[in-house]
Amino acid sequence: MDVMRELARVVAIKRYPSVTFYLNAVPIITVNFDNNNNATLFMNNMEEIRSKEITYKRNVDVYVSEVYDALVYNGIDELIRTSKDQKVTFRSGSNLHGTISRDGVVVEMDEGDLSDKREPKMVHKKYEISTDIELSGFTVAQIVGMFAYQPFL
Amino acid sequence: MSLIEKLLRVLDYKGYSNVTFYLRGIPITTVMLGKDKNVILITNNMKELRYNVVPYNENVDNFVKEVEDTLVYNGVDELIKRSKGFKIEFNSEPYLKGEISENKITIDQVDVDVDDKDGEVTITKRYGITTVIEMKAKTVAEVIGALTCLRFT
Repeated sequence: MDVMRELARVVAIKRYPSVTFYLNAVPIITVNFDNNNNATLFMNNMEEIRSKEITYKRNVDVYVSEVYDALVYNGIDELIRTSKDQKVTFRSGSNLHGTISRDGVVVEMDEGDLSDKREPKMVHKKYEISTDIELSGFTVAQIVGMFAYQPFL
Repeated sequence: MSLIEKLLRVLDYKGYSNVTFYLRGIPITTVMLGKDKNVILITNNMKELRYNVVPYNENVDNFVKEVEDTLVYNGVDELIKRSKGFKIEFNSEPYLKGEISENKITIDQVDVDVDDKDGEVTITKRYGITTVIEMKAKTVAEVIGALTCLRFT
């Protein structure tokens, strides 16, 4: 099973409207998902900031390939491959953040829940997917694909 | 004379379509000046990348105010104010490079020409504008306003 499908099993099935990826704490990609299966990618290749719209057509592999092509074309893939920092972090809202490194992906989520006494409490969940990952635009594209794919699981 | 008027006296090429502003070498704003008068701003507030469209209605003062509001709303103004002592650089292909610092803007315009022997000659015109310039989003908005005004008039 690839990283994307393993992640989709881990991350709760709910809609995250936006996700941002960081390299050396600098945002390099923000993806905004709308209700019409369109995703807008904003990409910072450290020379300029560009945008690209990609439509999800119910085929996640085609979608991942399109996102990857956009990341290659706009210089993000090369930026990630040549970075000295060995990890890419991502964040969606205030309750989901993750780290992609060569050893795997770590996802942490804070979720609101009710205690036995019906009092609200925050539950912190941490998932680790250990596998050999190539740190490149393709892995990032797979994670973007996972976020786009989720509502249709 | 306002800063926009001073900039308009110096800038002599109407074809600048993409302008990017940098703080500490990181792009914080890319402005896309298309053929219609809807100016696209993509901003990086170091947390996420955002997208806004600001229409240009022939009134440069209103336009500058709207761009400034956008930069303030998206957190770029605060980012600039927090980075005291650093310069803001901007460039636009093919000719323009500039630097905004406290009370001074430097603009380099590079022109390539052919000499009598058909050899390529690069001519760099350097201008310095010394006036009251504060390191905040308003100054960036004024530079954007001048380039927009130049392109659409």
